[in-house]
Amino acid sequence: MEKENFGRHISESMNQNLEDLFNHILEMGGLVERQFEAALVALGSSDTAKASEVVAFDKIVNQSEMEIDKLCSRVLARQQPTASDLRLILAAIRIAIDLERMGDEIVKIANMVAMFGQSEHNLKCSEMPGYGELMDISTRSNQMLKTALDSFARVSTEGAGELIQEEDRIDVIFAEAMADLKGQLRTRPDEVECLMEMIIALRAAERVSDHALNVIESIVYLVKGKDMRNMDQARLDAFLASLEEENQS
Amino acid sequence: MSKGIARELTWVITSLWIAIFIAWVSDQWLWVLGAYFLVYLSRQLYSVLQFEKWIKGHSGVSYPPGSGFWAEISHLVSRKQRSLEKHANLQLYKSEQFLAASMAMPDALVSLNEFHQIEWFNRSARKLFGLKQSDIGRRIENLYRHPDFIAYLKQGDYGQSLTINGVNQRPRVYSFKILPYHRIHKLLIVKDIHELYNLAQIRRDFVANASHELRTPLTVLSGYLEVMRDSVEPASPWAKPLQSMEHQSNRMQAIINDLLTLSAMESETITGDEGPVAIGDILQQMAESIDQMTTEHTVRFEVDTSLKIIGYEDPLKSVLTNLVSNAIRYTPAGGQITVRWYQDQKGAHYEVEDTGIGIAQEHIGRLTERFYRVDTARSRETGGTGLGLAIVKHILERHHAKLVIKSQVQKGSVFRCDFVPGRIVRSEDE
Repeated sequence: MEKENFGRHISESMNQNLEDLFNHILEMGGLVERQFEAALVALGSSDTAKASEVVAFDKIVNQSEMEIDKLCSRVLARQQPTASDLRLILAAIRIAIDLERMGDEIVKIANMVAMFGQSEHNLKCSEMPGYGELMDISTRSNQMLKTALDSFARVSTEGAGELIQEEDRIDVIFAEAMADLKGQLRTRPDEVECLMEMIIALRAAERVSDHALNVIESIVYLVKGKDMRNMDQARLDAFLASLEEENQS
Repeated sequence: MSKGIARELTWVITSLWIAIFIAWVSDQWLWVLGAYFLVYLSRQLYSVLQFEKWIKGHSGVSYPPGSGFWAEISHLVSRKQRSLEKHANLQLYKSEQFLAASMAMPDALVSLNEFHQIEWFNRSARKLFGLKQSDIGRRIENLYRHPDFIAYLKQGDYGQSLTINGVNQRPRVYSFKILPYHRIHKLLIVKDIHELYNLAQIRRDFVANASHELRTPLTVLSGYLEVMRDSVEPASPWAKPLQSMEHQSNRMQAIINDLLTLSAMESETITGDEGPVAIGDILQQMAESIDQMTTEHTVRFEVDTSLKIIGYEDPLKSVLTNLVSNAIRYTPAGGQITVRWYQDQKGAHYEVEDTGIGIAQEHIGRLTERFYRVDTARSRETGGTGLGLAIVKHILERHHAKLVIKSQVQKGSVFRCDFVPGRIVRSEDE
């Protein structure tokens, strides 16, 4: 059976261990997606029970990252992979780290929901300034994460251009929300704690989108062998255009 | 005689007559017959060549040039071919029709092979999961990564369906089901059960709310009834009606309490944590206070006191008492009831055996339905609510345990709860 399975996926040289690794990453990605969805529900309905579920998810995500790490080091040690196999392992390590960080950031959002649930200020987080932007950024980040993972599942770079644009949009929303909150901090000094918590949550949601972008960079590295991180704007644009062309043909 | 041979013979005989005539006229018998033989042979060979060309499809002629035997053969071949083509067209049409039907299904269908790789999917699946044509050959769990779904896919037992709330940002409830088909293939069917799910939710909420609302007025009524009964002389004509009213109001309270328990079980919000429950201790307490439940039966307890299971204490208590009080209710005075709590290699078992009236085979399957009664008059008289076994079933489901009922009419019944070994704890281990 192993013989049959051998090389069925992605590249001919990919063996069982690498396939396991690949599936593991996506499974972990699914966990983080789920965690984020739970956080969105918690945020949308100020549900503190859901928020504690999010925190519980984080433990499984962390465990998953450790397993991936183990798997990677085992493959590296035993098989000394080269070329695309090596790139897959490097990408896997990076993506796992990014996913784990995303989990941590999502927990921060859940913590905010939990804090508002038990605060004596009697404030609803849905009435706080910045809440609309937080929902917006979170929903967009979640969609980015999904796109990035789908691209990984398909071993394709098709989501790259879209994600970069989306990230820019999120940055704009984030900057607006920050400017708004800065003003609020001056006018409502007695609610500083809650406003601070909102700032942390906003920052966390924005960080998730950054990590999603890192994931797609790792995927581009996996597929193309090129590093997007050190490209300047002009080269990046040219590179993205070439990717777009390739994906369309 | 076959048509081909008849035609061939006609040709041979006619041409032979001509050849004989020529030979008779010219008187060159040997030469003419030799020439005739050559002509015949070359005609055959030429026909074979023509036929071969035609069957290969090079000549472009639909009907092959040829005479005699070969004309017939080619005619038959072309007829056969046409009917085959027609059959193939019909098959193609049928399979295309089938494909179109599966495409048009409102439920999402995805066919998977043994490695969970996608083989084909329909339009609804494409929309729901955002699949692309190039995804064929990829694993489904890579593209739809819900942890519950992955666990469902991995466990390999697809008897039950999986309910997932919200798929790819669509806020609806979906039911996932995998059907193994054609040896190694699996069909994933995803149904939108949002309306059904909501209806069930509404029903549950309604039952819970209605019972809750009924409870308060009923408490007031029974309170006053109690006061009135106490203040009425036993000889008064009102004594009997009042007693009967109080009895009935108690029964209503019992039903409402059971309904509330049942809806709490269903809504999956058991409060409190799971922990080791000392079934033995609970049964021992029951044994001490058994006189309150019955004085007309002999109740024997055979209890393994060190055997505990992981679960919710209060619901389990109600399982234990429900089964015992059922046994008491349906066993005539003087009967024997045996309560056992023991472990074997299959797990832990709680068993209540009675020598009561028993249950006919056809009723056993429906016993755990709400308000299902074998003998309506009898169970009202003995004060049952009709919900006891439904509650027992729900609680046991929560503990992944099973209720097994064995019964013989007029001999007695055995109600057994089987708990899986994974939940067993021994006191010594702690």
